[in-house]
Amino acid sequence: MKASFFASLPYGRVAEPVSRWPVPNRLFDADQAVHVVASRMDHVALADELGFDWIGCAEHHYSPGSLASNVSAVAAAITQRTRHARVCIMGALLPLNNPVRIAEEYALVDTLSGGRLVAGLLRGAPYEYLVYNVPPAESRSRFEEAWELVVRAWSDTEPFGWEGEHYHFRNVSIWPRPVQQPLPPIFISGSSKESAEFAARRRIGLGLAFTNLAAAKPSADYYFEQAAEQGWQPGADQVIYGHLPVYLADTDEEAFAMARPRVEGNHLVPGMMKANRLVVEAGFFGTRNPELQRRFQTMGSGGPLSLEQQLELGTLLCGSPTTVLEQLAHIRDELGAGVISLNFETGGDEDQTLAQIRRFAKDVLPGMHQL
Amino acid sequence: MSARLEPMCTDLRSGARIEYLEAGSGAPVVYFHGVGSVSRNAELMSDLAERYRVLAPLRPAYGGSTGASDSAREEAEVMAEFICQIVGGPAHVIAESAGGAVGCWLAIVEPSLVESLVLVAPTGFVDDTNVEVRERLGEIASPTLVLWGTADEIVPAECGQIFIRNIPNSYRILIYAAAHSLAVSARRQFVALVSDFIRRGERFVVAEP
Repeated sequence: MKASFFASLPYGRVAEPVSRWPVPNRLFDADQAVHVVASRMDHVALADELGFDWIGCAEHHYSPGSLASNVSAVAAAITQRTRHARVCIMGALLPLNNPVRIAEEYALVDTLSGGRLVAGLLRGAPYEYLVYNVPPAESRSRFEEAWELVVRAWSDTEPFGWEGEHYHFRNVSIWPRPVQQPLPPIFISGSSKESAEFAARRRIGLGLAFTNLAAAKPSADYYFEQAAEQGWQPGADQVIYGHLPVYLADTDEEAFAMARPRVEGNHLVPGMMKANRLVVEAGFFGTRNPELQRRFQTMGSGGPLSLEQQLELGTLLCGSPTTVLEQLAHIRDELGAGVISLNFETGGDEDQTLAQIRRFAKDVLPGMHQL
Repeated sequence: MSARLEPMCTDLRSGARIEYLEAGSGAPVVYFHGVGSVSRNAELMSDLAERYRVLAPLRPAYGGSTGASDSAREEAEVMAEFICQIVGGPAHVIAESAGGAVGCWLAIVEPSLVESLVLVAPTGFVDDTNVEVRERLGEIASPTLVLWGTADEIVPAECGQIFIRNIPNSYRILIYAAAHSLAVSARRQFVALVSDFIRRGERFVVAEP
């Protein structure tokens, strides 16, 4: 099993509590941003030194939750602070962006890293669709067309134009092409059966994020089933699960005591929940996914979950090194996941965060690699 | 409004008889069909005939057409005679699938008759059907547009690379999710792209407001 260190680039505390989304940027302080980004890049360099297998980053907009508004720029920075780890873009949100530009940027990241890119091409969470004025109901068809265009731009070696439903180009011939041939490893997000089927048919990986074991299992099972039907078996690196907050201590009791006050509040921002609901109601999930639709429409309405409930759902790692390894083995058994995205941004101070990263590398990573 | 295709017939001086469909007025567009008849492309040709004078000959040995048909090159010579006699000058040539090689030969042996060339998923260039013309693609001087569907299961879109690599003034457009028979599976895009290429020539690579 591999460990992917998630470089989420959170801004940190804001001057006053905010419930709306987008979050007004009058609250933005440049000095804080410069400081936090520099310290997170130090974390990335440390994680690479300590043997984390991948460093991940993901596109998010309009809130202090993450400053990674252009994920290729973040990935490019990561390439310059790492030597061994794969750089996993988890990912750019394809339907929101120019697919040719994404193909170019990813190929550039692959070049900057000497061929260490793992290319996640995602649709994104519903609320992101309020950012660039893309109709949510077109999200899936835009995604599928953009995916094919990106792969074409990476693999076709003579200039071409593209006449599609959503995208129109007369001249495409990207420089650089990806270093990894014939293609970098690719995965898509797979919360729905459609996505699992799409990934299985194209022999690419499946990323399971912002979900839980119970919700992810049907689509992971369906992915393996469809892959078998297509005559292939996904590799261990092709099912990615995360991003799991990590709470590690000598004993389970200590870890639980550390985690409980941080995870048992309701951290869902009402404005973001509303944005999700509006986008979902505009047809984001189409007609084939009533369960997903319901989940996003009612998210947060049941009140905060207890630590024990979250452990049962497999949405965090918490305990002694032995316990955490058991939790990882359980995830592998349930989902067939071979890469776990780990989030060390759990609300601790700088020293605590660094201590957790070091501790995980020393006490869990070796055992994790044996799983 | 849809232009009506009239069945026509002509006897060439060489002795070949060519049946063809004709409709519309304006710049002449000659359409070489693939395997099968031209009738499946009737709607596409009607659309084109709203702007152009469309002539769709049945190639030798199809329907009631006669004439040399042992090779694409021989067919191209018959078609050159057809264009000289019926059009009386250069035409925009669209050559589809198995007719692609005929279009390429025509542009090589009678360049003055080919104002522009549109190759629509031409077949027989990656196997050894058209070895000789494949080696002479570099002689095609006409501006050439190559159209291909990304869902072509007969000849995959990668096969279009050879034309771009060899024909100096060539452009390739992939039509997303379209199958081999673009006239049927992507008629709207086909008509729009070809019309733009005929109207603007090589300037069609520049976005218009």
